[in-house]
Amino acid sequence: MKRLIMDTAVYEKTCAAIRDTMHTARELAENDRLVLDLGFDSLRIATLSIAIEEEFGAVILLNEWLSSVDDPDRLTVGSLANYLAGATAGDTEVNHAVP
Amino acid sequence: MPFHDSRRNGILYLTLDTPGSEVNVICRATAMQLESCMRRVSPADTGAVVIRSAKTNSFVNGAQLMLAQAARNEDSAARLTEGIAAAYQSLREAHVPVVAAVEGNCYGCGLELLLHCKYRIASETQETHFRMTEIADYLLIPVFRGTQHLPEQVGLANAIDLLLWGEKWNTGRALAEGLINEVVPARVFESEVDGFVERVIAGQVRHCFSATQIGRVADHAEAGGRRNCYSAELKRETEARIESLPSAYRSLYRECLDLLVRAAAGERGPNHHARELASAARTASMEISKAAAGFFYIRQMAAMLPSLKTPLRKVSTIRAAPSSRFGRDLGSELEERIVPGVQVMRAGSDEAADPESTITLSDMEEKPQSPNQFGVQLGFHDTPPDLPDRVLYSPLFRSGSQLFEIAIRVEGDAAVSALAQYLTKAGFTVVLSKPQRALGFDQMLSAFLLPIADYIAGGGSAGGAAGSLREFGFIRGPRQLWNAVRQAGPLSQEIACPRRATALESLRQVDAEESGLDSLVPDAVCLSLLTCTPASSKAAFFHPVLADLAARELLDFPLGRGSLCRYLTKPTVARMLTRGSAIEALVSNEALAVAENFVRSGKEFYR
Repeated sequence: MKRLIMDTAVYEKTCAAIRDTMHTARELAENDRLVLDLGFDSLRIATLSIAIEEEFGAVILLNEWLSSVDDPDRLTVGSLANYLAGATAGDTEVNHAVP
Repeated sequence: MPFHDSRRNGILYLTLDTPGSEVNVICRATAMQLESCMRRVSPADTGAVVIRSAKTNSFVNGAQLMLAQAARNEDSAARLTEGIAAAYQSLREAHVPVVAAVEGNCYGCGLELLLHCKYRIASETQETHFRMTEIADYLLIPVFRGTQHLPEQVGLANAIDLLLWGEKWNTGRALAEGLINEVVPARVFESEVDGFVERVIAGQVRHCFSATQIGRVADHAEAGGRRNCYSAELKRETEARIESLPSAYRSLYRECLDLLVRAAAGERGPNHHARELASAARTASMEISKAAAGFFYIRQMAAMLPSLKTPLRKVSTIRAAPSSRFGRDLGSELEERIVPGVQVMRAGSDEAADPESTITLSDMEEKPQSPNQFGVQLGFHDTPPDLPDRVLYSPLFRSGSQLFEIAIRVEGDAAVSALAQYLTKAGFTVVLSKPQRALGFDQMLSAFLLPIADYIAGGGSAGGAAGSLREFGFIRGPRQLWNAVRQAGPLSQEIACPRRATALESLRQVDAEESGLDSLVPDAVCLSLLTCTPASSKAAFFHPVLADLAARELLDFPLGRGSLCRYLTKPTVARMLTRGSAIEALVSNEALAVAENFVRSGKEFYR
């Protein structure tokens, strides 16, 4: 069953990261497919990870999201937003490096 | 559209230029366009088709990673790859000659595309290389008939070297082994392609589908029925080498070897392709393959970091004028690596260069700490003079390492970004660092070697240490690394102390690595390496992807573990710490403090 996007803030950040990667201001829809509609390939997915780090302040590798579907055409903006919402849930810890 | 088509003198030129990407990749849309173009080709109006690239650095770099990650079984693998497979087959089945004009990287499924083109000419540039990346970089089996066509076209021995052992061929090697027909200098590439096509049409060029080496094997068969014997011997040798790999890798390598041997023995067509797809789907779901696929994104992210928030600057000249021995060696190496559009000038050259696009490498004012630390000042001529020194470092350069660290003090440096881009184009791997007290590579070499030295010095066996690291996944092993470090010059004080140096020397006497040992040494090594990650404020590598790339390239950190920082999750580090005094004897107090803090209040490197 299709998951609804529950976190609007995460969705907006996701769209901002995608737009940044594509160097575009275009409107995105939840059902836009990254591969088929937006022209993403594996290299651009890596660029997207950098943009996501800028937006979310965390390094999120997308390979688990990529392998969560049985067809790359099912990788939509909405599914990415949901994945990022899950990956960053409860993300309040601070990295205290030993001085 | 990714392919631009044009016609000249009855020749159809299909020029690939993947939009929005620095390199060409074959996706399904690209494949559909290619197949559509090829199906319309008629001998009535077309003498030949030329497949070429608009990007001088990349012929085709890849395609299948996202497809492989989605494949669940043989059926889904077939469904996901059928578009690209059909496009490739249309090249092979064309009614007119198909010529691949290769300039730039020809990797993975790009090489498989090449194997479907009957005639091949390449431009002699530093970036024109041929490499099967599938197993070497992703622990995957190729899916576009590479396991069939490689033995057919370059022979079984070469196919094994390319696919199983990840050999990277330059144009000279590719020509010698019959992978391509001709190599021409980059400056005359375009005109030479035209001449080559004319000779192809005139029937003066032998096609590449018939392997020279298979021919030699056939000669053996005629002479003494040795064809099977030849294959059997090679198979036995390869199986023995596979047995020396970490056990988790062996079934993947055996499966791939089986495909290659079957093709060499004559298995062809749909049967072999179905077997290849089944193997690919089966192995893609292995844990080591899933972990390895993630490293592609880490490598790409690490490559992007130097140029983040930095305006792109074009480099036309590298002025290499250092007087140190390493500097002179590097200058010679750069001169040999031809990067189109960039000239390399040596010390004393009075040639004019555009100062706006010149990077100058020269000796550092402070004395470098090691002969391989290429202390340099670099920068465009218009770089503000008060910008702090950056250091270019390659500790294992003399051992053939292609790895450079660029140590910086500030991010967003246009000269560093441009130098990193140039070195990458010249075939090197570049890792950025911000050293706090030591260069990143030195820090990492010490963190790796010290627990091994202390384990051996404390009475542990050198063969046991090497064997347990091999079983963990380190293929290159500590003996080779120690040999390279010894040759590099002065050692860090920690390693150079007689007790540790003697212990590490005993690695060189190891005849056979022991097996069946527990994971104490790998645990200690990984815990020690935590000090080189952003979990420590004293680490030079300020981003997890930089520590991961350095660990992979410098230490051969196992692909099957994903990466150093992906492996070092909080539960994993917590488990290591439960080993108590056993591990405390092998790692520094600093490493223990970093680990304890990481488990207590740090956050995971990756979500």
